[in-house]
Amino acid sequence: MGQQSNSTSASPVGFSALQALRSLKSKQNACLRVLPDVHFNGMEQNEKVVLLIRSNKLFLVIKMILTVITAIMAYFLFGYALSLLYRSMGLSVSMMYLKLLIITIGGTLFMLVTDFIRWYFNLFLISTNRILDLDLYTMAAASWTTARLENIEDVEVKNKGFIQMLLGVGDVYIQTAGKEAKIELRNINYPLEIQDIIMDFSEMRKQQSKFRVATQ
Amino acid sequence: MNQVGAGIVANIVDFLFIVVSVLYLGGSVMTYLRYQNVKKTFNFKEKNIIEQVVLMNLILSVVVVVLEVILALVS
Repeated sequence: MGQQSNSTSASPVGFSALQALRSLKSKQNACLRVLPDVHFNGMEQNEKVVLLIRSNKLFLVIKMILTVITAIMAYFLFGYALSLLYRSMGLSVSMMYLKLLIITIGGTLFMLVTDFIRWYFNLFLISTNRILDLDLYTMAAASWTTARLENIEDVEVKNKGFIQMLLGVGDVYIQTAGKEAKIELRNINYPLEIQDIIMDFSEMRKQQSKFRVATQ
Repeated sequence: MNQVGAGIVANIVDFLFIVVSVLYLGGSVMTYLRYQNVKKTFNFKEKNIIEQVVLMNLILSVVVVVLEVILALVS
């Protein structure tokens, strides 16, 4: 499928971001929250979280369905293999199936909870001062990236593949001047509005910085 | 295969089931610890529900381990 790329510079300062925020406020859900009641460590005094973004829920649901299907297939596959082994030794298979069922149910629930926790805590925050990206790769590995709004250089939106096109989701890539040069947000709703908001906020912060330097 | 051999194979399979259930328990503990770690960084409105889900997962994994051990001893 074709890939469309949309890289844009800042719109008229503040106005289009406010328009985008107003339109997003009516479309809030678990994947997108406007002015959420969220605080984080290191939050500055007048700082406020404006947007909380997670990837589209459907990808979580698809992953969970695949987990359940894999578990069912594994149960029947291992069950069949073990039953052949047990029957060849003259052992009872009913207890074996029961133990395998308990393992399968426990393991499936564990995987489903892990999938949910990973989706829930793989999030992106836009505050009045910065952007924050929390990536939970596994339960043992996570990364926490922040970038000041005035350090954002470019925001790119990509819409790849049939599913993204169908759902209207996209990937947002944020180029910053910092050490972590590129921040990626995958499969998020309203990517163009998010792009607009980030660019406008960034432009506003840059203008505020210039004003502060000029008046010193 | 004779009775002793069959018994050994059955015990090995039971042992493997217990090992897998202990791995699930380890994963649940790690999930709980990761949640506690993230909770220190963030303050979410829905944290009580998430905490209940994570705790329930931990308790279930303990139950799975206990059940597997009991079934291994009984069979």
